[in-house]
Amino acid sequence: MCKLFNQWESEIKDYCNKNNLDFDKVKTSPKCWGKNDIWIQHTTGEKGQKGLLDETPAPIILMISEKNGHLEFEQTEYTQHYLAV
Amino acid sequence: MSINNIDFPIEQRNTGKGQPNAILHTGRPLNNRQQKLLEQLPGYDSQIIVPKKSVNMKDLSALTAETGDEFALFTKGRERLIIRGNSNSVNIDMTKAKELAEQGYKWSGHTHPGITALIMQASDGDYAILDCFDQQYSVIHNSKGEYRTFERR
Repeated sequence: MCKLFNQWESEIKDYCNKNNLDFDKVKTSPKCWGKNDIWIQHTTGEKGQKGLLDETPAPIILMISEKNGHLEFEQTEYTQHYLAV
Repeated sequence: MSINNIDFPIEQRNTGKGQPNAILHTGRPLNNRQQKLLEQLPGYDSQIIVPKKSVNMKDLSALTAETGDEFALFTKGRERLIIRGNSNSVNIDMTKAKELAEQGYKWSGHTHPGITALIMQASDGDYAILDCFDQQYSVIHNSKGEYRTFERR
C-alpha cells in the first residue's frame, strides 16, 4: 500500500465525503505516486492484456498533492464518472 | 576543501555526461558505461543481461533521453535484463512477463519517453504486467530521470 495514502487517508476520506465521492473506490483503485503526490487511476483488465505493447495511460480519476503543508485535491474529467456516489 | 575535491577538479565533475537531463537539454553524451550498454542494444526488442551493478534506472533514463525509446529493466539475483522498446512500447506481453516471473525476475522498472510528469502515468498494461510478478511495486522514469512508483492492483 502507498505510504502517502495511509498517511493522508483521513483527509482523503473527509474530502470524498464532502464531495460525494466513493472513498472505498478511491482506496481500492490503482495508485501511482511521486514524492508528494498521488494519482488515483482507473484500469480495466481487458485494456491491459497487451502489456507493455499498449502504453495508453490509464485515466487519472483523482489527483492528490501536498502543497505548503496542506493537501490539495484536483478532480479530472473522469472523477464524476468513476467516483460519484 | 577536501582531498576529494582537489583530486577531482571541477572540469572533471558535474559535466553532465551521463545525466538524463543534461543529455536531453544540452546534448551532453552518455557516459562510457551507458554508451557500451547502448551499443549492445542496437534496436527494437534487443536484449542484454548484465551484472546488477552495471546498470540502474537512472541509466535507463539516460538511454531514453539519448534515443527517445522506452527501456525495461528486470532483475534476478545479481543479474539484470534490459529490453529496448521503441517510442511507445516494449515487446513485453502477458505471456513474456509470466515467463520472466517464472524465471525469477522482478520488474525493476521501465521508462516512458518524455519530460512531463503526466508522461509517467501508468497504463493499464503497466498494471497488468506488474500483476504477473511476485512484487508490490515498480517504477516509471521519464527522460529527465524523474520517476513515479505504481503498485499492484
